[in-house]
Amino acid sequence: MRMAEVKQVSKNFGARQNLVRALNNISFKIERGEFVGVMGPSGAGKTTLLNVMSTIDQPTMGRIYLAGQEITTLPERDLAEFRRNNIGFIFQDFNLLPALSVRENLVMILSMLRLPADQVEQRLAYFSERLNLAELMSRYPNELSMGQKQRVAAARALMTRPQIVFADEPTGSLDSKSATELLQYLATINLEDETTIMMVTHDAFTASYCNRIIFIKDGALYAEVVRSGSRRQFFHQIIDMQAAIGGGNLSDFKNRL
Amino acid sequence: MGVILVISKIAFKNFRQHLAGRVLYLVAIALLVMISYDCLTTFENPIILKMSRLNPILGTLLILLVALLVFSLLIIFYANRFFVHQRHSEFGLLIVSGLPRGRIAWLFFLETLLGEVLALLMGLVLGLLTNKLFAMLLLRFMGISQETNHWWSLIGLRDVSVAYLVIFAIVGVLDAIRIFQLRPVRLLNPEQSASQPLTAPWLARFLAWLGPVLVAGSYLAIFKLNWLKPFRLADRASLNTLLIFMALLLGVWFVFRDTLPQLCARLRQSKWAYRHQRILDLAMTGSEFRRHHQSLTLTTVFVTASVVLLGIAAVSYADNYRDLDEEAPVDLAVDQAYHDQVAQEIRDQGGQLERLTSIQVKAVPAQMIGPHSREIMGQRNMPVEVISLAAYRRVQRHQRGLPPLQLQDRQALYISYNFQYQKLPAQVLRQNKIRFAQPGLPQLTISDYSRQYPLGNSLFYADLLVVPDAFFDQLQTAPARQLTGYRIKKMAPDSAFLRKIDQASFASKNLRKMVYHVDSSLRRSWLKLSATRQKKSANLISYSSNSYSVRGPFQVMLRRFLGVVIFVIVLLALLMTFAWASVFSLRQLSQVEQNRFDYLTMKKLGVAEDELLRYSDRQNRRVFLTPVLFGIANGLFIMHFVGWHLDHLPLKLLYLLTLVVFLVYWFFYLFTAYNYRRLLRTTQISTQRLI
Ligand SMILES: Nc1ncnc2c1ncn2[C@@H]1O[C@H](COP(=O)(O)OP(=O)(O)O)[C@@H](O)[C@H]1O
Ligand SMILES: [Mg+2]
Repeated sequence: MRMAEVKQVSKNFGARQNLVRALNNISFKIERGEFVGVMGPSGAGKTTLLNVMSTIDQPTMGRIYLAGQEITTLPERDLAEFRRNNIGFIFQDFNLLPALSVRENLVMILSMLRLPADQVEQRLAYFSERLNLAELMSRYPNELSMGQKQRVAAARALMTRPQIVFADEPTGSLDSKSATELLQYLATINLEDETTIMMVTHDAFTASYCNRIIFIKDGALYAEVVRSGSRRQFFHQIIDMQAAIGGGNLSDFKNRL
Repeated sequence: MGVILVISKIAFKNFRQHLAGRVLYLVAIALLVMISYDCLTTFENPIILKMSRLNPILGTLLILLVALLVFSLLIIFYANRFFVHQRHSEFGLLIVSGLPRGRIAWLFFLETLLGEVLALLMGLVLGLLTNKLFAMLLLRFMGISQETNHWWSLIGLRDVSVAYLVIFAIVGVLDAIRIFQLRPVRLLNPEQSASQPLTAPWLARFLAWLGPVLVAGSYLAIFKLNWLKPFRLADRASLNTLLIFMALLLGVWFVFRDTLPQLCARLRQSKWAYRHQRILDLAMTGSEFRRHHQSLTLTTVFVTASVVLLGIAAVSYADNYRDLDEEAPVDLAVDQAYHDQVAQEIRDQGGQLERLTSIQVKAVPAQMIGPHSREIMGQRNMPVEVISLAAYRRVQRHQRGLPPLQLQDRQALYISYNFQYQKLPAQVLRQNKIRFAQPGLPQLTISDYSRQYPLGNSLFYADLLVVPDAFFDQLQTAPARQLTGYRIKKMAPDSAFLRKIDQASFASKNLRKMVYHVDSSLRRSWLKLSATRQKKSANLISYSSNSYSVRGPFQVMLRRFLGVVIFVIVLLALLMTFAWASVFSLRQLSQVEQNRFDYLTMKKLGVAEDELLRYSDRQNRRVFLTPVLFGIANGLFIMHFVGWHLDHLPLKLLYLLTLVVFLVYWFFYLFTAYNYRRLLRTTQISTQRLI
């Protein structure tokens, strides 16, 4: 079954003189149960693509289907509900609500889904064990380190058992051990629950956990690499492609300055 | 030169950008300027100057003026605080990118000055336009129906402008100091500064309870306090009052700082909050309360003050006007000893006298017995003057303010001017009896209390009894007085001549004096109606009263003064309400920047936009109206309590004025909510931080 389809989508920001074409007539498909990576130089339009696909921003042109539903024509109210029920996000900047404790940050979403209280406890226990959150539960976001925030954000995205998870550089601020743990966990739910995952990253190691990588440059599809052999092989393929696209880690770093 | 031009340009751009949210604040300043100007010009208004020779009117207006200026300073200071707050992240960026702080402060000063000067000009124009209206209103409140044409005052314009420019400068300096003290780390990471308090749980819980306990305690204390006693600083009662108000203030402070946030925290952990999706809602409200407990406390205080001020205005309006009116139409009351002399003088001046009624007064020694006699009479036994029920009814026919009266055989009405100072409920008062020194007379039960004297209080020594006719006839006293009431025609109530008569009636040679020997045994005490000059001793109490009185001059004076006082109080209370509400609205709007990101997050998590807007509305409403309702409750409570000691509190009037206060805040809430929505809507998903 097809999980997502992007058809000739463009997204512009601004107008006239300072028009930015963040996405430029891009099309691709994602099947159910895939673990797709999105890579590209900084400013290539990765975040924009994720936003547009995850219904939190509208494309300027084109159509997007998610779980068989055309989301580009849905009214805002239905979109909110759709988002709530089907999508999990791990944002680039975590987006934890500072007024809520970690526990409340997690519970709030379930409250919106009207999940019965006993199931809430179950899921809390499960995720706090899986993502090692037990001691953090009563803390507030400003008392957490970056890595801890990232884990909480991940737990929040997965708590609702979404059909598709969008992750924007989820390992960006994690040390390699936590990053590996999170990625392994994502890979596990991808395998076990058939959760579709779409993850933006600029890091080849992180990307090597995916089944398929979409490379974009200047808002357009540049190339696609599908994992066939071992992870190590895949990793090298990705590095090669990054070099070809001219926006590897180094240039990404330069762009940020 | 070039730099200044650039800075001015940026300042102007910033000013325009923020204008929409600040309109009402600027209007509030304009109104303050307007009233200040109006107030100043009255000092040059010939009619009011003429009037004020006898009147503390100008003094009252001066107080208003000073209050307005101080209040303006406060308002502008606070508003600018929020403006700086609103721009924290922007300033942080500027500082980090190396712009000197002096220049940032300068930029900010220019930008705020633009708005302030605009408001000043607007206010002056409004002042010129409304000046005549203000003077007319003032005169009308004073009961004068004269035209005034005075509206242009160069000195007034100059003084108001200078005063406000000085205020702007002071606030500018304070802002600059604040900008120099900003720490960029905190500005760029607002999350860092919004850290949770690190108090021990037991202390937190203690403080949370302290708030309500203090508030309840001060309410109780207010009940215990004997109000309306003359306030003197050395007085224990005023010290207590001060302490009580400090406690109340502190209580309100803790309620906002600790109690409400913790209550919200409690609630949001409940099943109810989970089921009704109120977790976030409560969390944000709680942290808002905590973060802004200062301005919330101030709001509560201002609202309380407004309601109390309005209450006082309502009380003095209703009470004193009634006082003035209840004697109407008895313009002249005179003892038979002076009767012919005074009547002749008035006729000589072209006045006409219409005889209304005449009553007989007897003075007898008596003793009050009962549970609270001391508090009512001040001492155990004393002379009381007595009139008959028939006489009371005769006067009542003309003096409409006198309450209707039924007396049975052994009952009496007790009239005392001091009655309103007693804090005893009527049932308790009615347990008292009067015993007379004259042998063979039965005791009388006091069936009713009043503070309204037939023919006015100035003709009586102190307390007055109204007794059944048969009883009155049995009283032996010599000589009995005869008082006659007149209506004066063809003569203005405050004509120079009547004023002269009024003054003469207080001259010591015209006063009636009585010295009363207080003795523990009632039988041996004596009573003398004479100007006896006895050596002062602890057992002697002297009384005096007028032998005749004219109502007009004092009434006119009082009406004018009261008019000004009420005018000033109402104006001040409403202006205060308006101005503070506008600042509070600014505070709320300065919050958008910080909450914007959270709203965005919620949107991403699948909360629909209209739901979010409803969230923000609800939160605004809570933060806006909680202190207002709290303040109104405080104010009404205090006024109810004060009113408890009056025969009646003009509650309808007070409620009406309180409603006005509430509506002003409600209006500002709507304005704030609208602008809040507007600012939130401009937050598109895609305007999140870019990497
Ligand atoms: N809200 C916005 N307004 C204007 N331009 C934007 C906005 N969001 C993104 N852009 C531009 O669109 C392009 C793609 O941005 P983004 O998707 O964030 O890139 P990245 O691949 O680094 O995540 C960039 O050039 C960026 O400057
Ligand atoms: Mg990005």
